Amino acid sequence: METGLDLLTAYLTRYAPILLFILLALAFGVVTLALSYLVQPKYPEAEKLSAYECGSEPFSDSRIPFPVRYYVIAMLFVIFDIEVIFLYPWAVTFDQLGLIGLIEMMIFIGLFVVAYIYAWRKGALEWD
Amino acid sequence: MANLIFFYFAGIIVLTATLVVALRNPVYSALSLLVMFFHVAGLYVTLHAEFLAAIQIIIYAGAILVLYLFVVMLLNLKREERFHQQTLTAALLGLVLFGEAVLLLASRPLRLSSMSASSEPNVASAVGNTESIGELLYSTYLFPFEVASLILLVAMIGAVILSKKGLLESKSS
Amino acid sequence: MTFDLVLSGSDLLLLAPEIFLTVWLCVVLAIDFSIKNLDHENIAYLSVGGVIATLLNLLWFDYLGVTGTLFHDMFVLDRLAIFFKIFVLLSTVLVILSSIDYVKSFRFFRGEYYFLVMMSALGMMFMASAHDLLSVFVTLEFSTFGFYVLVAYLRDDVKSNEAGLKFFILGVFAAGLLAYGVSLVYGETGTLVFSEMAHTPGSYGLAIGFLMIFAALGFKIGAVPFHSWIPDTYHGAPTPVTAFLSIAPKGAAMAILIRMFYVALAAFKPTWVLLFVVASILSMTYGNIVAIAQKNIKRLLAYSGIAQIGNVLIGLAAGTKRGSDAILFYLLTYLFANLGAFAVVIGVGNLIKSDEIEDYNGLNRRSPFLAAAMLIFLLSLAGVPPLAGFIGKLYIFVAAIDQELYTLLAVGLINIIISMYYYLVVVKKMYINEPVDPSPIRVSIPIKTVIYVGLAGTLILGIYPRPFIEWVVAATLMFSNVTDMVAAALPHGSGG
Repeated sequence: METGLDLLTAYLTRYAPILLFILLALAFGVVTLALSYLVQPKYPEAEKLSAYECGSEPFSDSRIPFPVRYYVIAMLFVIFDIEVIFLYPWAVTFDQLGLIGLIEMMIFIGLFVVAYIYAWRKGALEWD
Repeated sequence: MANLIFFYFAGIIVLTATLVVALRNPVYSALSLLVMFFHVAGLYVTLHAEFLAAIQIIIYAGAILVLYLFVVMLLNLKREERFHQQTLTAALLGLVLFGEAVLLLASRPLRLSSMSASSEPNVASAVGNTESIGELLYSTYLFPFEVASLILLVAMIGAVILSKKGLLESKSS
Repeated sequence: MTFDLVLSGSDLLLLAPEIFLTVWLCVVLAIDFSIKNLDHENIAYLSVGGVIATLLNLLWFDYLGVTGTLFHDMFVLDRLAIFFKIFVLLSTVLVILSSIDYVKSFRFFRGEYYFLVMMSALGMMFMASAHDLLSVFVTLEFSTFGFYVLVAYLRDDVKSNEAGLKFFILGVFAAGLLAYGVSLVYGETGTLVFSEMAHTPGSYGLAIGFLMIFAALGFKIGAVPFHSWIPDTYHGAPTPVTAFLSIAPKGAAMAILIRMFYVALAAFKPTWVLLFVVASILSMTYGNIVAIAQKNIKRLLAYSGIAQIGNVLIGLAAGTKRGSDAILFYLLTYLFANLGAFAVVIGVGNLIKSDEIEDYNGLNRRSPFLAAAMLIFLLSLAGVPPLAGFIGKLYIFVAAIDQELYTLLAVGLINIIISMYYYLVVVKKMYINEPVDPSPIRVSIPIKTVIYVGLAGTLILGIYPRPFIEWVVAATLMFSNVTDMVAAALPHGSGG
């Protein structure tokens, strides 16, 4: 008799290709960096390490405050992302849901359209 | 094997979640959170909740974390020491939560096999995880679903008001 | 697993008030963003019209006795739900009317203000009908989202921003507690619907889960020890929003508390009665004692609100049908007195741009009408006969005496005396002290209307409470067997 844990293990072996993929991706990055570090010739000199004509010393931190506008865009993105997620299981089961499922989703999207037109009219989608 | 997988995911979740609050640089905290989100998704997969795992990555790792990073950049936080002065409160709260967890675990024997949905793997594999969620969400749980759309409407309008207001007022004055 | 959803026309009828209000909201928003330079007063009156139409619809339902459940018991429309929906909508109408002058000071997003107020009201209407933990979570969050924006509406005002931030962070923390509690309860019982939980055996998980849910709802009603957000949020928020926040969410959260403890946890009454006795004593005593030291009228009303919620919790501590009747009636008296007092504060604040109690010196010289109205509202809040507050307190205390909760009764009576002191300090300032600036204060018509409604409610409920008592008794008729259920669960009858 199979126990629950054996079943779970059997189920998880189906994810072995994904695990392999993740490991390969990791290995690609690590191996490339390590290999180039090992085979490169290293003769450091003060002149060689300083910035030459094609660059200047950085004179401020690269972390500058982002304008609040990015935040609006990101916020709207999150909300629409969630909406799309809701659409997916609906699309998968659409043939069983029938007309009432269509109406449900139309109400859902209808409220989004109101919000979308609002954001548009108020200029939330414009940069300035 | 299955236990090993669970403890790997759970261990990394605990570790990265601790790093989120312990690291001094907010950007590192956010990245640590990203690693945590991925491992939570892994835990969902072991629970046969593939759709939830996908949502976890698309919404949390893909969208909400970007929002967090924008806020960190917006506030231009660097090394923040101010928020690390409440160790005593944190320790007390942690003690309370730990005691609660002990109480819950002590009141019933711990059965690891029942913590995964493996007792009925046929349901998920026969119908498909996403389909069963769809069927439930659009029939039994229709009410919370439609209320969720209203929440998103309010959230969107609130976001436009709170962020645009500052821009409009700084422009007009 | 197959798709099973049957929605007939009569089912949708149960949702008619909510559907109507949703459509109305969207129309109001659409009018606001499509017509440029539309006066915001038009939007306000349009909103009031929609809310009143919904209110009439509900009154009609109440008269016909329309009841039913939807979505596998997740949404229930009974007379309790109808009562709380009417409660929420009544406060919404009064709040919108008292906002009109205040909103004039906004430079942007005037129309959206009314949209958000109605949206929160819609969320609280859903809360009144929530009959399972998932809908409790979703509807609670829905109603709170509107408030997060409304509290922080004054962008230029540091206090408003601070209030918004505090409210948001603590609100999200409460939401987290709620979600955790719901997950624990679901893990223990395997169900989310209240009525299906009624026969589950007790366990630590269930107790901790419900304790967390109680903490989250205690946050909404502002009971001690979950009150820490109240003073600063009330102080910093726009005054009409404070007025709304001080009454409507408390009513809606009380609806959930009553349902949860009377339906799902009826069998554990001896345990949770203690919880409410402690919360009630703490809220009354803390609220009243700290209120004495307040210099700002909004903070004073905030602390007085904490104390009033302590009084309401006496009804839950009694845990009987009479207890729930008393809660409903008390909330009704609190609605009129509290919103009336806030209308006076808004009326005064619009002109003198200050909410300090010092600036109420000699209000009687500047506006005898406002001073007299404030006097009546404060006396009703204190519980002086023959005003509404007196009957409300009496009703609550009778429910406590029934259950022999004499400690609670004694603490309640002492607290009435303490509260009398700080209410009378305000009265003394209004009537005896000399005003610094004796120029008269003019009150606009919408605010006058709100004050008149508040006065009418306070006087009628105090002098002729019979029809209203009959109404609340009918609204909680389903709890008439709540003590029997306790007796059935405890064969030796040690409850009480």
